[in-house]
Amino acid sequence: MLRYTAQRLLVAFAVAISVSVISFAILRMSTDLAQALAGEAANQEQVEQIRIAYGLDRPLPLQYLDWLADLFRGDLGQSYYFRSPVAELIGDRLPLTFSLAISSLFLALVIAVPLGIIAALKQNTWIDRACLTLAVVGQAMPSFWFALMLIFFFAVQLQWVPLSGGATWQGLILPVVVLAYYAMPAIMRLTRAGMVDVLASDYIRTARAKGLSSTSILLKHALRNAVMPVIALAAVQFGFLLGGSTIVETVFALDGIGYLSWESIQRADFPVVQSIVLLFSLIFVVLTLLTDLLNAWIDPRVRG
Amino acid sequence: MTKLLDIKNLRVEIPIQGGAVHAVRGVDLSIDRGETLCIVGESGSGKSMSSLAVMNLLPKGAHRSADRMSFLGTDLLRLSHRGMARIRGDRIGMIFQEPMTSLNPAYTIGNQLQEVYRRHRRAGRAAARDRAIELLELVGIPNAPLRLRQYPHQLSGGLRQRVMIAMSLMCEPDILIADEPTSALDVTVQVQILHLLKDLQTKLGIAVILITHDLGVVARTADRVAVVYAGQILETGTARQVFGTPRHPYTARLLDSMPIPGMMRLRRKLQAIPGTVPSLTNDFQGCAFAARCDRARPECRTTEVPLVREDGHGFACLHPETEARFAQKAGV
Amino acid sequence: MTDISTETPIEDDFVRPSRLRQWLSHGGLVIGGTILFITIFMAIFAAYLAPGDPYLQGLGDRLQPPIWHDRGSWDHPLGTDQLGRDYLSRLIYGSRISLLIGIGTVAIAGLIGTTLGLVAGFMGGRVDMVISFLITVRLAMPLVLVALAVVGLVGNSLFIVIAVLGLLLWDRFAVVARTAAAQVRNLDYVAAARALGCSTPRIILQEVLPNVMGSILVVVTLEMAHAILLEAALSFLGLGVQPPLPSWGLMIAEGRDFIFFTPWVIAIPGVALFVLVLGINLVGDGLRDVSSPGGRS
Repeated sequence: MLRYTAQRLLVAFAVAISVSVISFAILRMSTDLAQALAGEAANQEQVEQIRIAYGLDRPLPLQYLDWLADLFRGDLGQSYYFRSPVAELIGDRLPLTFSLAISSLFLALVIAVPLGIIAALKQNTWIDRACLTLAVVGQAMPSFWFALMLIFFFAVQLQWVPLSGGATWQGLILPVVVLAYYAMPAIMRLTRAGMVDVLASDYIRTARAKGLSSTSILLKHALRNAVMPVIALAAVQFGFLLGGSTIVETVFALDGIGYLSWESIQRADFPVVQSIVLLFSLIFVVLTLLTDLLNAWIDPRVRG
Repeated sequence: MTKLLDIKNLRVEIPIQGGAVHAVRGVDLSIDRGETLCIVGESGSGKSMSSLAVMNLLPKGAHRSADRMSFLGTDLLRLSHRGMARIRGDRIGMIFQEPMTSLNPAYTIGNQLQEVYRRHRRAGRAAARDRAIELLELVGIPNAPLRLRQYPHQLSGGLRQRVMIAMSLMCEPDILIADEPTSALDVTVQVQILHLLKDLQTKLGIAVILITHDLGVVARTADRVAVVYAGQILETGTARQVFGTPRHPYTARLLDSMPIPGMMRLRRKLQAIPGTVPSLTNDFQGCAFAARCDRARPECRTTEVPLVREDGHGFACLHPETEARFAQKAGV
Repeated sequence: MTDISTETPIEDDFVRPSRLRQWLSHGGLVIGGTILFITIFMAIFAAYLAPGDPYLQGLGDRLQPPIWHDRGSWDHPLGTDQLGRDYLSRLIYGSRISLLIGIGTVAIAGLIGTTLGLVAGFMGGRVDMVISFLITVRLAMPLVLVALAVVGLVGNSLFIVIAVLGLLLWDRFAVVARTAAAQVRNLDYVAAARALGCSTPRIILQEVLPNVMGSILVVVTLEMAHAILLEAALSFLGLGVQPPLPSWGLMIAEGRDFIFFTPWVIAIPGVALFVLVLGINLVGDGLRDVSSPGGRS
């Protein structure tokens, strides 16, 4: 387990470094940073002064190391547009985006896992087909369009929820539904597939031959093995949901990180964009690392 | 004396696209206390299906029927799912071919052993643990308390099969059904497991139904033998009868190619019997083995061949073998 | 010990139905295939099928309702958009963009991913480690955000969107090709080809590639659907295909302000998008079912 942990940590660290290099490259390829910091009105001399002051005249690898050092100190740079620290901008909006992603992942799991299990238990019946249809439709649904349709029906026609904005919790219902439906199909299909495999396994036959009750066979022997891969998928989905927040927050005009990233791209505010890319990537790396370790901890074969 | 298990005219159908596979077609089986019955046949002959039918563990969709299926006077066909679950693991134990995958990888050996005892005996944790240790020692696993804490992947195939045996014996069943218990194991381990089974049987007085495709296993263990082919019993009797004076040509051909014990190194590949097994999806006329039989006459392919009994030795053949042989070869 | 199993020939009970019959008996495959066929037909013959010019503005009849509406007319069966352009014509021409995005992206991504995956799976060792690492890094990057950022950086046009999506969506090809190639690697005929002294690229192309094509084909459909959805999302966010091109995602974005009074300008292109993606996914699921008799999912 120790060896495995060390190995996984090393890979995660390497991935994080690679991602940071790519984010750095995005920023430096985009614009002349000194010019951007100095502003449109600055003359050549002022720009050069800033270039030297910020160390932007030094070789790129050194600049990268400086940037990395700043990063570790929590300094993500300055936004061109807001003229304020990026870390602050992101910090203000993080709770909204996180609560969105967490609630929608929770909703998706709560619906998809039981449905996947039921579909597996009722294989090839109409229940199974109904679940499959729900998944297939979800996979083909453009989420931004789904969001607009929900707005039209529930906010415009029925007026059950506010039209937009995250000021109240009701405003978060539709975004959560959209994101949850986006994450649901994959979770449901994996649960079903895992359950089908497990139910056909030799050890389930053994459990039945032992005369155990169906509840015990299902809950003790089948579920645990079937759901293990779902944990890993849930972590990946969380990453996807953060990424998907760009679309959903934009449609619902929620002032989270996703919306900030979209606005920043349009304003060419690259320090912000770069930081958000880096942040989402790091979250993904950490999450997959944690699930790998968690899976290893649950599964005695890996742990040993 | 009533039979422990008595089955008449067992049939199993598995529906497939546009028809059904008749995997078992009218099998009669019975077993007494303390007896070893070997069901021998090729893969696909319906031998495993028969045992799964008894346990009501057939794959989804498969359908069983029988004129009689009674266990100690209880009609197994009329038993509810719950009623059957109470018998499984308690009165009838079962072990399988694949010890590597038959144990749940997520739980310790101890957990999986104790679970049976607690379920059927309503025993407490401590009692179940004591029983598990007792059984592990009985099946020859040293260091039992340590083994209880281990996971299946930490055990070798032979050990896992011993654990499976221990698990099936936790509640002192009347019958142990062993479905190809040694085919997945190394040859030396096979011998150990067979010895263990034989040994446990004499100690505990349980009846064993041993399902195998291995005539060597039959010769070592059987009191009585049933030779199955295409879902039917072609020949049945005591081991001495079947091995000594095989009456069905199929049995005879199988024995012809069996090596002599003690001369294992001269073992040759079994000569394949020419011809094909009839399709199990259709009803066929006459003797199932006729297409491959060198003694077959035209009537073998058209007339229904009943199982005739002489002195408890049954065979389904119109032109049976007459020659006595192999008595010394099989060592019985 | 004597073994009486295995060697006996058994008549083939389960005679497999012919490939075509098998395909036709799969409902999803038939429905998906039909949708895909109709869309391709629409895209190719757009000029003949479209009742009007998709770019012709008619300020006199803006936001006309579709035919099933009380005020609808056969002049514009699906109504008109906010600039008075015929919606049916725009929808038909829009299928070209979606298909072009799907095919172009999959061509680029498939080439990159399959090559990397085959090499990794077949060579193993260090090469495999490096390529697997690349895949991990790619997976760690937030897809939508990176695509948006790069398009925002480089500027947006149909071809840039294709290039960006192609350079991003190769991961699943690589994963599938790698797994399949690693399985094929140790098979007898590949070992034989090696023993005969065939060069590695030759073995990969001639022996390994044909064996992984089935799985790759399934990924082709999945990623094509994925690319079409992403393009629509990018265009919707204003960082994809540019007006006046009739991208379905762009049509939804342009109709957004009229959601209160003329919801069909959003509903119609959305349904088209949904149906096309559904069709492609059904084909993919169907291919997977048909190629692996084990079952779906």
